[in-house]
Amino acid sequence: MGDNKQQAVQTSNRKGRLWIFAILFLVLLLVVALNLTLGSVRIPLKDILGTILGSPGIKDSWVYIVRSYRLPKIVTAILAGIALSASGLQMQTMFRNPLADPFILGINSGASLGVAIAIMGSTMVGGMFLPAVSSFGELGIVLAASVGSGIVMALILLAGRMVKSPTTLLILGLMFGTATGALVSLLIYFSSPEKVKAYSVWSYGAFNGVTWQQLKVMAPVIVFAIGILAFLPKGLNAMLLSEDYAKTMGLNTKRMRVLILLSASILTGTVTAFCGPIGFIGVAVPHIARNLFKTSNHKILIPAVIVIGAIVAVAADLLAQMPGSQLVLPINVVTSLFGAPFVLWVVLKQKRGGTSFNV
Amino acid sequence: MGGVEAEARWNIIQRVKRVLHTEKLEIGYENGKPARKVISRGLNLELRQGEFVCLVGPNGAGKSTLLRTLTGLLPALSGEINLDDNPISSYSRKELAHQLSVVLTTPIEVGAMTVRELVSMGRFPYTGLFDRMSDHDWQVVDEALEMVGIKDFGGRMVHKLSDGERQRVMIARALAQEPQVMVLDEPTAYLDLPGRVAVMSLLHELARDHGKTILTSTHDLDQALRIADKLWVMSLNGEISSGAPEDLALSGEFQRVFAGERVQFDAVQGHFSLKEENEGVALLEGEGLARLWTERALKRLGYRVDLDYQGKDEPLRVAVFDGGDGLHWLIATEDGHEAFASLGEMADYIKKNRVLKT
Amino acid sequence: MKKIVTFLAVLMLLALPACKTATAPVADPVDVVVAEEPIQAETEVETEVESELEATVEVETPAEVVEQVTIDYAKNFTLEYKDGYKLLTVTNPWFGATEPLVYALVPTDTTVSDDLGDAVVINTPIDSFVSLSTTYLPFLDQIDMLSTLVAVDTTDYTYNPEVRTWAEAGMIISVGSGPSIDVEALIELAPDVIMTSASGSPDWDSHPALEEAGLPVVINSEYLEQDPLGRAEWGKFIAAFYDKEAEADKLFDEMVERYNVVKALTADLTEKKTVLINTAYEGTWYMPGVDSFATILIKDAGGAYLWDDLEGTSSFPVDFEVVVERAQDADVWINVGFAYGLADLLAMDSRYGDFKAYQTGEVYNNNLRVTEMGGTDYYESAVANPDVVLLDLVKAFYPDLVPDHEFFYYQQLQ
Repeated sequence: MGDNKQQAVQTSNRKGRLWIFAILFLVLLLVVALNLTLGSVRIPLKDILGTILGSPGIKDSWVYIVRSYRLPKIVTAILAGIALSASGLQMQTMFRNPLADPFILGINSGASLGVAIAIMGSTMVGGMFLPAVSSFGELGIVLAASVGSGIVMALILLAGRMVKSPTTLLILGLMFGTATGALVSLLIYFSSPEKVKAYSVWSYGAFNGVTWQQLKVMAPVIVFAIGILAFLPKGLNAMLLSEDYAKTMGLNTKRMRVLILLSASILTGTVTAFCGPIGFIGVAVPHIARNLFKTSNHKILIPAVIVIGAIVAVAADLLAQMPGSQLVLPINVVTSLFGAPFVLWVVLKQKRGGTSFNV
Repeated sequence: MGGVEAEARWNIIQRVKRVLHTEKLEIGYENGKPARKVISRGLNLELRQGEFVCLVGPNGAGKSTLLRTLTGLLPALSGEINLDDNPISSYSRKELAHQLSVVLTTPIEVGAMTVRELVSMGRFPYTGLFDRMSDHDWQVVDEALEMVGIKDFGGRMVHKLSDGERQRVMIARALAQEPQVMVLDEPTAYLDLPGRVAVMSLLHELARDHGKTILTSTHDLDQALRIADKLWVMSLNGEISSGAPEDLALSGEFQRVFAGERVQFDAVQGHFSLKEENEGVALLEGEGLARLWTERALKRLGYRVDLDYQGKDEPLRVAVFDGGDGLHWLIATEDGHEAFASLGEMADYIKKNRVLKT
Repeated sequence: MKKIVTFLAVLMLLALPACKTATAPVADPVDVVVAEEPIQAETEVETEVESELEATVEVETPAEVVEQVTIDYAKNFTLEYKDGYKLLTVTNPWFGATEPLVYALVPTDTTVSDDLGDAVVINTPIDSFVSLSTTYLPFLDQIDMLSTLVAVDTTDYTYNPEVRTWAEAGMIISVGSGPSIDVEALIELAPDVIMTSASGSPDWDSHPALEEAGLPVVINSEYLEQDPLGRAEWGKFIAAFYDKEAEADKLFDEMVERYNVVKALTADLTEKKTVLINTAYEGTWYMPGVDSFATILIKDAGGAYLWDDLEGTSSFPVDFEVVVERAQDADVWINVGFAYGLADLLAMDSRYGDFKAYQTGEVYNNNLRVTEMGGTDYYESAVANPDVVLLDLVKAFYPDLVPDHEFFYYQQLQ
């Protein structure tokens, strides 16, 4: 079998992959269209286009709903799906663990603690926070979450430069998670039911709480972090072998670690700050991508998880809408319902296949 | 061969490039417990172009530490490591990657990747930020595949290969990196016998037929003795003696380094064997292959086979011959002899009698 | 000692009515019937005080035969008069409870011939009370028994200034709530009644720990009542322990009458104002069902609640865009969370600015009376004064109908 044949196989693989990408894009468009139409309020598809294009003769409230609620919601979902999936992929590669998710470093625990303090902390500080929260409002929550995740992020980055093995980092992340979780529990214990409910609702996760105004902050940050990721596929592939191999291949593993952590934690922290913690997307999408494209090569996986992540998030939001009913489910309920059996499947497949990242 | 020719030959050998050499190298750990642990000191080692060197030694001697230090994965405590006569510290990571590539012990798990893709990762130091592979890069990859003898593996998925095949892929990857030196750390540790043989002979071939410089550590001393150009023998106290395998055998180095209670190095046979209890002497009559294997059996039972025994003790008298219908063994007893149709039976008899005697 | 306390209590009681009539928003007259209210109330209170004085002076004599009181609106408790004692049954102690709880209120130093079964016996009238909820305080207050309060769960959210003062002076202690309630302090205090609500879940409830310690626990499930009048009727429940249910009954009847008068004001309106309630949280808007406390009040105040289709009493998570569709043009918006001003509301979500009620400034929140610590009077005394809440709502919806009424619980956001 000559080199030519190998080349031919490679090219046909590439062609096949392009086709898959094309199909995925179509699926994304489809899901977005469905999400736009199948909201809680019945708006026919042609009118939806009209609202976006600004055609006359459409009910004001409909225009309003589509422009001020559905569109920002979908954009948020797409950004969140991309961010969580990319972050999850990086975590899985860095720790060479197929069950790693964006939250294993405790970033969202930091965000949770920030929000918990903002909402429930007033109990402990004698109600002083109350006016502060009300005057900041939504943005106050985002701020609190960002500060919380930012602190954990800084600690992780610091640790990332210092510790020898990724496993130590993992343990640190777990410890952060546990510690912040304990503090949050403490706050819940001492708080009134209304405040606990308010905090719980935040932790359900939602795409529809984000306005265009907030997107002006969320979008550029996520795009920036994804931008960092665009330079990393080569290094990520090397890290897949092992950090030792990567070093002997000429990779500056310390710098690589910092970049990965930076990108992943910004992605995770931002999504958590604006949307609350959203689970399972970060774990599941990289696996779907690997299985669909039958590769572990990050040059393909990174764009793959971006598209698939967007699809999954928009689809989850669609389901959470419960089209036809005026009620709405929390996003985490939907992602858990589908995510949990998926994770189970991954674990079982592990046992059978033996090697991790088995396709 | 005259003195002049020998000297010329010697000059040629000397002029062969020193690819790697160390000066007063000290290896070990800092920040461990205790704070500073020195494994070896004062190491002056060298690797020459086209050499196949095996690093051997008992467990815990520090072979991995030495290799990790030489490849830059572990900082040296003091002394110098020189590649091409330049200290290793003068190379950036990337430049070092052009000089040195490794194969590590554990077979890696990357999941879904083709063999060709994996080997192409060897081109890492040569491709740019976005990992664009030129035609030349692919050429090197395919050559590496061919050198390793896995030309047809190109499209196969890595995780579907056996461990032995996977290590060979990793060797191809290391080759594709076009290094001056390939360093391997116990590459055969997790492989079965055919796998081990395949890998070691591949390395031998790469050095001999393709002029590659290879340093590998191995537990397989028997094989190493047979195929290595040089051995570095590392003892438990960190000392390393290097030389041709035969020189080391003759100098008694193996016996010294590998001395153990139950094991000894048989300089004649060139391998390790269990120290045996000495049961006595045996006189053996027989020829050819049958004699050879009967000797081995007797040896296993603890008897030394002597051709010309003059001692006082009554020796065991054994004879083997081909009776036309197969091999037969005879043992002389007090009143005649006992006959056996297999060595196994004879061995059982000897053992039984031994027990009875004592 | 008892006499001194009683005397001090009487002094305070004299002072209280003065405060009460000053602030109590007895409806500013629209028609004659209402106009008579304030005067009547005052005299009522004064005679009450006098009879109270007499009653307290004669505290040593055994209780006389009490006037029998009926329970007309509350669905979760019953009061029965038996031979020489009263039987209070909480028919629904908590959501999903399978058995009622029975309390036998037996006058002190009397014996009862009937077999009381599992009923918990409380000797009446009681002298000391522990309240694990702020909503019992107004009921104590209205029968002038607030001074019998010896402990509360926490004073963090208490509005009542007297209770706060007493607590600061150390006369009322805080014992917490839930499974980790300070049982030891309570044993030492030896109160006559510890009143608490329950959820049926041992993780949250206080009463299991208390019962185990042999303390007298009484479960109050007023929160299950959705009818505002039914909830207010629980004043009689609490009063029964003091043998003052007749008094509570009278106050209650007067309140009901005031309530109905206000309700009648809007009964004939043909065009009703549309009302939006609550705010969204993370894109989800929790809308109460039509039979819940807040929505009944809206209806009785002549408002049109836009979510008639939500049956029952629970809260439904409604999608933000449905709210936009249905209620963006609502006339009035009430109960907007933690907002103290329109700017706060906008900060919560910039899209609130597009609601008509926001733009016309018709946003009202029930946090006019708030302490520094965040204790809101609405959540404390509104349960006893639904007529006042109703007046506030009518003022919010149809201010011309009640021009002389000043907001008590609610404020219009600026």
